[in-house]
Amino acid sequence: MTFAQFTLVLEVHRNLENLRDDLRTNAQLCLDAYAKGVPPADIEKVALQNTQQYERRLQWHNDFEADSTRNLELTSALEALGLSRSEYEAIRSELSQATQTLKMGGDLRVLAEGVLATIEPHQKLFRFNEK
Amino acid sequence: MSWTKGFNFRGTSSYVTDGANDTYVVNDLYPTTRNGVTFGWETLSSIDEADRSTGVDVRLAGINYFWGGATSLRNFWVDLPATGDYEITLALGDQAGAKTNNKIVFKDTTTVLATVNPASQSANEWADATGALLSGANWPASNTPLTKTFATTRFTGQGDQTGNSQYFSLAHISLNQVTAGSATVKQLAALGVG
Repeated sequence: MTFAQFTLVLEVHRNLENLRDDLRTNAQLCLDAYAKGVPPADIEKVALQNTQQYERRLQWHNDFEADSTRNLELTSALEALGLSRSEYEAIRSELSQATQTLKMGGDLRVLAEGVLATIEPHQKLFRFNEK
Repeated sequence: MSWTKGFNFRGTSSYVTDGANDTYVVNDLYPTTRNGVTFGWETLSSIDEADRSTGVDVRLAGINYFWGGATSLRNFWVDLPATGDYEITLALGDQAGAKTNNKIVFKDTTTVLATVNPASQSANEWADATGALLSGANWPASNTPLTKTFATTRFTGQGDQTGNSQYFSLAHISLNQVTAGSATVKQLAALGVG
């Protein structure tokens, strides 16, 4: 394990964990906005922009993977930290699936509830301590 | 379609209600996506947050801040939808405390575009994007945005308190993509037409 490997895994981890949080947070904000009577067109505009941002952040992983040298470095770095490539792929797949479902469109309230039901929140020490 | 995104730095998300194009920044680590935009601090090391007052414009209601030192640089990043011209709106300061040498540098990924560095500010005195100092009462209507050209799709607001044992303190940044049409309107307005 080197500092360079650790930095790479840290950024990969940060992007995916933040994205998991953002999917859930924005789904809840979407439901809250409907409950507050925010005009649907405004909610839809932001939801579309959010989805485009999710896609963009997932694309960073695709771009990295497409470079065979970097891709091997990532696998080595994950393994050096005792993490598995397969878990990384499963998380990417989970978040990609949710993003693609949002992209297909439909009733935003149903889509938001779907995100909250399917994207599992990870345990958080800081959030656990929030009063 | 115009793109405008604002960031209200404060201590808690629910302290005030943000405007339609704005979202709160409560120690958000990059990349965070909210309100249709991806943004955040590069690192949260030493970054703190505070609510200040609900009796002022919501954009001035709180701050994110850090203490200066030998090398104290903290980057706030925003992913822009495209390269090009953007109007930057700024409220640099602190509703509740005076500041000395509060400094922010605007960049794209690497190129310095502008620096705002008031030598001294009273409590509730705000530096706008041009460096002009305004009271909390005057800032909402009288602050002047600064238009800069971004060669990359990254906005960087770099808090810089290097060698300065003082607090950096930031309340608001917003970015407005300047479309060709709106630039023309501005030029006509400057000429007294339209």
